[in-house]
Amino acid sequence: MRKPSRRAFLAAAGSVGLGATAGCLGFLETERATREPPLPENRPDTAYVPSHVEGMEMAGMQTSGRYACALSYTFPHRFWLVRGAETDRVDVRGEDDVHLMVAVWDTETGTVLPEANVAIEHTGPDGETSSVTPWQMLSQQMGVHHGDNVALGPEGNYDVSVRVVPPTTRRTGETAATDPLEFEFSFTFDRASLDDLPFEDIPADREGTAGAVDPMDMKSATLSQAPPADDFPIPVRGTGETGGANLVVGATEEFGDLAGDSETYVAASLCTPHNKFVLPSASLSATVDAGGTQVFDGDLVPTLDPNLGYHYGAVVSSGEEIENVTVSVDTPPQISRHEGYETAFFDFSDVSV
Amino acid sequence: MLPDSRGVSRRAFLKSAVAIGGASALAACMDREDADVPTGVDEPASLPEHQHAWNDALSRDDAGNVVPPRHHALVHLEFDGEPTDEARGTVESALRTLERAYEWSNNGLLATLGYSPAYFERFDSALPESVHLPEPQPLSDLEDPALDTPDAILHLASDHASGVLEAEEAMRGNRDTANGVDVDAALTDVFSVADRRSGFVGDGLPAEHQDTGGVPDSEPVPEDAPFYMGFESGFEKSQATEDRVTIQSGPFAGGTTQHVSHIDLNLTQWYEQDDRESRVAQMFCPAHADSGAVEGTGENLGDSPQLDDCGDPVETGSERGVVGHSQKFQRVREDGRPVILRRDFDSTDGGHAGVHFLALQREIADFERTRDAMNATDVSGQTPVGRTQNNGIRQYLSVTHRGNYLLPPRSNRALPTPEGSDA
Ligand code: HEM
Repeated sequence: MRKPSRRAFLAAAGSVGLGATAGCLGFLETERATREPPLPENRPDTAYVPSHVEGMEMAGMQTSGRYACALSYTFPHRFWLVRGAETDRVDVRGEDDVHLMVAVWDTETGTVLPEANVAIEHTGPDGETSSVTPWQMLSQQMGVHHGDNVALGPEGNYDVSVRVVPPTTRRTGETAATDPLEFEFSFTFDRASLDDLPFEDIPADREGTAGAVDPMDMKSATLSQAPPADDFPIPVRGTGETGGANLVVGATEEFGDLAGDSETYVAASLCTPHNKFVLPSASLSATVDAGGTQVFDGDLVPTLDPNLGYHYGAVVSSGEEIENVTVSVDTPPQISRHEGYETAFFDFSDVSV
Repeated sequence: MLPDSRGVSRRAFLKSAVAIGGASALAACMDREDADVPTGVDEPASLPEHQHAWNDALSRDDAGNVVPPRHHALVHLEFDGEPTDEARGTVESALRTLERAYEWSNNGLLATLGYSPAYFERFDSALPESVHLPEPQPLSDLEDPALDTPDAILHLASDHASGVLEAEEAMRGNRDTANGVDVDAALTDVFSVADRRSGFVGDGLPAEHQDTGGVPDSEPVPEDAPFYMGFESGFEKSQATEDRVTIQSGPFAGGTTQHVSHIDLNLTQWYEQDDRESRVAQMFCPAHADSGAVEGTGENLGDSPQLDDCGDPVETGSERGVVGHSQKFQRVREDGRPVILRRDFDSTDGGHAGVHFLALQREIADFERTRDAMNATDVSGQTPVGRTQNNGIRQYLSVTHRGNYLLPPRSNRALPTPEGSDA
């Protein structure tokens, strides 16, 4: 059965019916944009089930060389900016029309590219062009992407050009070009069909409980998921939970050009607990003991690997067997959060494996 | 005269007039402004040899900071002729007209004429070692600016919108008199106009011009802010001195180089999503946000943004996930001060809130080095700070144009050769 639409939700929730306000559009627009269910009470300090889930419309998917980009949109909703360990809640404004989202991934390795730089330019039916530099964001349905609430103009066709500068994140194996890429899309902005997008108001007994809603089936877009511990591409030293996130630590002496003779590559994969989305833009460090002494005390560097995906890693100079790795998350993932993730992944403690 | 019933405030109108430009804007503007603009001098020798010697001719605020002229125009000029003595004479006589017509001050008119690398290409010889003037180029992987290559650029600045407009009209050959003084020659007698840009800076002007692209409808720009982003800028101790930016030797000794970029501002996130603390952290540094060092637009800071307690950008970036715009430049200070002299102003050109980022420095390399510090690839490479996100104010800026120019000393300003004009 089809999920109920947002229109149905609005009609049920609002004291003002759609038809009754036909002559009062300005008012109506303000009303509808801000009519998000309230935040669950007593949100836990961990990933939690949000107040609602929403469908989204895919405007298109384009490729350029080895990179692919998907543009999608849904109705505007609140999110949280992150700086250090502080969050700054962004509420929907009356003039916001959509929440625009861009996902970028590498088609050759199938890895999503956190830390890309994305700029969106949209031209509406009135010929007006505006630009948005979306925030890097994490949502339970989509994982790592770039998004923002955006005020469009009149309803009608929008041409959207997305400029992506691939990240300079360290890569294992081959190097990939980081020249800017342009992706062109167009979509029809139509309030009525936006309101017909699926919308589910999560019941009070479920919302706000530890957990997460399922990732949506993104069809063509790859979700930013980390490899599971039981299918990790390199030998796993151990796993842990910290700050509400899962941490998998692996070590290998065979790691392309990164680890040479008498060297070990130590990789830490930090991800969300339920949906296994990678948590980028954090700072991690580690100490490593081997052969009875500390052989490493330093940063784990964000790194993209075709098999490990986005992870934090370091080369440790020691041929001896590793006895202990202690990983610290020094700065929480600096990525904006959709509802359900804004209280999690801030307060980390060290994990020893 | 335009009716007031259109709801345009008198002050708002004056600025818009500079943005519109031309004879009718000038006529309407003069009616409105009704300014008594002081006239200049007959003898250019009484004026400073540096075209860029503006600071002594400008007023200062109570803390001793230079207050920039409120209205600005940048006129791009193409030169298709031969740099003959006659052409030089015409240029010199046009510029002397401005000097006779307007006092060299914010109350009268301040002007500079600069030349691009494209201009110097016509000569067989190259510019001397003492001048570093490369072609403009993108200064970050993340930008894709149009590269401005007019032959020359005229910068006009005054507290009077009518002063800027009238001087421009005179230089375009559209007036017989300027401020009551006969116009002997126009720059368009030898140049043609390729483009014009305009802008404003000073308390209240950005707020009056916030009904434009890139600014949300809530009119968030503070009433008393001198710049769109809401803070004071150009504190005395955060600027290079005019001496520091002056070329020391060679035929252009006494001149300087000018970098002019245009930057679109995207202020929706800045004002509607970031809170005040984040704005202070991103503009100055997180330590300033913690201590509440910045009140309102930051006038309380006096003559310095007081960045001493900001700390090392890489450390701040690792600990706080954000690094301040001003903080990043500490690394490129020399003798305790920046090496560029910023004379930037805001603009509504292109129907969008923006900045004409005009900076003077002894060599363009000084600007490039400073801009590199702002890119802060070491911070984004070693900390969770992004290349734009949480990286000072980079998230909100997009560079649309860049141009590099040489401002010769006053005595050398008319169609110079690479060896100076008496070659
Ligand atoms: C376009 C928007 C910009 C705005 C609104 C802006 C604003 C500011 C503010 C408020 C300050 C601190 C106050 C002060 O001036 O002392 C500052 C400092 C500074 N800015 Fe910017 N700025 C902008 C762009 C740039 C660019 C493009 C550069 C050049 C690369 C630059 C170079 C500097 C320098 C060198 C300082 C002084 C730092 C020091 O004291 O060592 N700014 N800016």
